[in-house]
Amino acid sequence: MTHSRTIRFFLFAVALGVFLPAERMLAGDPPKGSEVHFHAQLVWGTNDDPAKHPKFREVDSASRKILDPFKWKHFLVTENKNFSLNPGEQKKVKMSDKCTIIAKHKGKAAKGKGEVISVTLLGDGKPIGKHTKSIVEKHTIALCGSLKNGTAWAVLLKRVPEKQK
Amino acid sequence: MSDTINYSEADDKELVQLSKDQDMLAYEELVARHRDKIYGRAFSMMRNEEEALDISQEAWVKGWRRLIQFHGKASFATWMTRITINLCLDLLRKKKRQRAESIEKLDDDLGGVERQMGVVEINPSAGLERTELRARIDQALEQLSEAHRTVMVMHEFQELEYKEIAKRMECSIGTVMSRLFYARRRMASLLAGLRKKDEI
Amino acid sequence: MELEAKLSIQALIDGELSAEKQVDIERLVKADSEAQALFKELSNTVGALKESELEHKLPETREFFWSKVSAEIEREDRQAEVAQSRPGAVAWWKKLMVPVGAAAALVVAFTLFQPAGPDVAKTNFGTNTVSTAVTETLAETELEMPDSFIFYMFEQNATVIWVDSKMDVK
Repeated sequence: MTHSRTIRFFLFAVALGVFLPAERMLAGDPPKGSEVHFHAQLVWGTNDDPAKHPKFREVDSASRKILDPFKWKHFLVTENKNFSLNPGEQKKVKMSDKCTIIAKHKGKAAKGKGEVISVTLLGDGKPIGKHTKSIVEKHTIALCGSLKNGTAWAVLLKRVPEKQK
Repeated sequence: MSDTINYSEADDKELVQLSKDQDMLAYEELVARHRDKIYGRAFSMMRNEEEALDISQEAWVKGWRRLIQFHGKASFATWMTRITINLCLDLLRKKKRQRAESIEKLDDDLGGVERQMGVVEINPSAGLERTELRARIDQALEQLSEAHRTVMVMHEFQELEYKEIAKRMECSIGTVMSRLFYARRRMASLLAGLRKKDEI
Repeated sequence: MELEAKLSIQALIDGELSAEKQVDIERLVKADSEAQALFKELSNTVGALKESELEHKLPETREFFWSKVSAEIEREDRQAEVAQSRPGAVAWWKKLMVPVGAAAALVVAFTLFQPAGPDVAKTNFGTNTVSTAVTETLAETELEMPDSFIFYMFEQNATVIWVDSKMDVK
């Protein structure tokens, strides 16, 4: 009887030894990786004459090339935001009354391909979708879509080096 | 009356019945008869020989296990291709999940661009022999994204309805319709492009 | 032409429209030249694809391929037999359930009473202040981008995601 009790106690202790470290894994060690810096732009795609919208300027040539496949003649920047993320951090960035992005730093990518970032897009406060990607410096994620009035929108999220403030 | 069965002369219905009675020779005959079709369907979807071979093998093993569920409403070949398609979809979903965290190679077409494309007026099949047309279609299929190719194979080759495709792909009917539409437009553009190359 | 109309033209060709809608779309195709052109393009493509799947021959001999299939069937049969013939193995694991269950309950209790994570204050980044840059404990959505098209532009070092969602964003 005593022998069987000893065995059960031993097995219990072993089980604890297995589960407690597992619990630490569940709680999660903070993700590794560097702080990342982003420059975000909300862009409006239109065939209108830009002179009619003097408040907005055209995107720079690099961004224009990214948006080149789409049919609209002009791409106007309506908002600019800069932000940074530490590993594990998540931020909500409001680009307009109806457009918000939630960016999360998910840690270092495998094989040294930069850091993994997830971007959730909210339209009118509702999640439209989420995209997760490993991103290196100077890479741009462009989320684009059309509007009901036949124009287009784009959110350009460019990872910039730290010194580019 | 002879007890000998000539498997190569038996029709599928007889072979299926024999297989249900655990006659492996009958099942081997079925495999031999339809292996190219099953492999071809897997290859159309996966575009990878190794994956198509693995899926084919798995499909035949599953087919053996599930023979009891085959009631003859569709042909045996159609039933087997459905098993194959489900296995392809499982593998595609698994691969997509694995890609989500570290996307290095992205597929998919310029959806926004395609919607703005002009209409293709050339009839892609005009003046082509069937074998040549098939080769061109296969070449064009290679260039479609996984999502587009899957829906195209399921609708055009497997002849499934929108609802059935949506159920198997676990998406809405609207998504199926959009993907099929873009796939067809892309296909038209690719086939037209291949014809232009001929004319140069 | 709206996307909905284009998809309806496609559905007409595929025989997926209700009788009533069919009449409407047929009328549209007759009356509108753009609709007609699209109808023709789609019909041509559908016609070309009909029975045009290229045959791909399985690149292994009949005997070799069958040997793999039959070997796998036999392997599964053997596994099933082995699993059925070892009832003692199940009983042994049952004995461990009590201490393992107790340990699991401890782990769950410990995890549930963890203190909350830290808040992150506003962040300044150069001269631009992100006024809404506050960490929020939002549940991560596992939504994928519905109907999205993704492509990578090597020269521009960019990933472009076209989201098929009409929004009123300005």
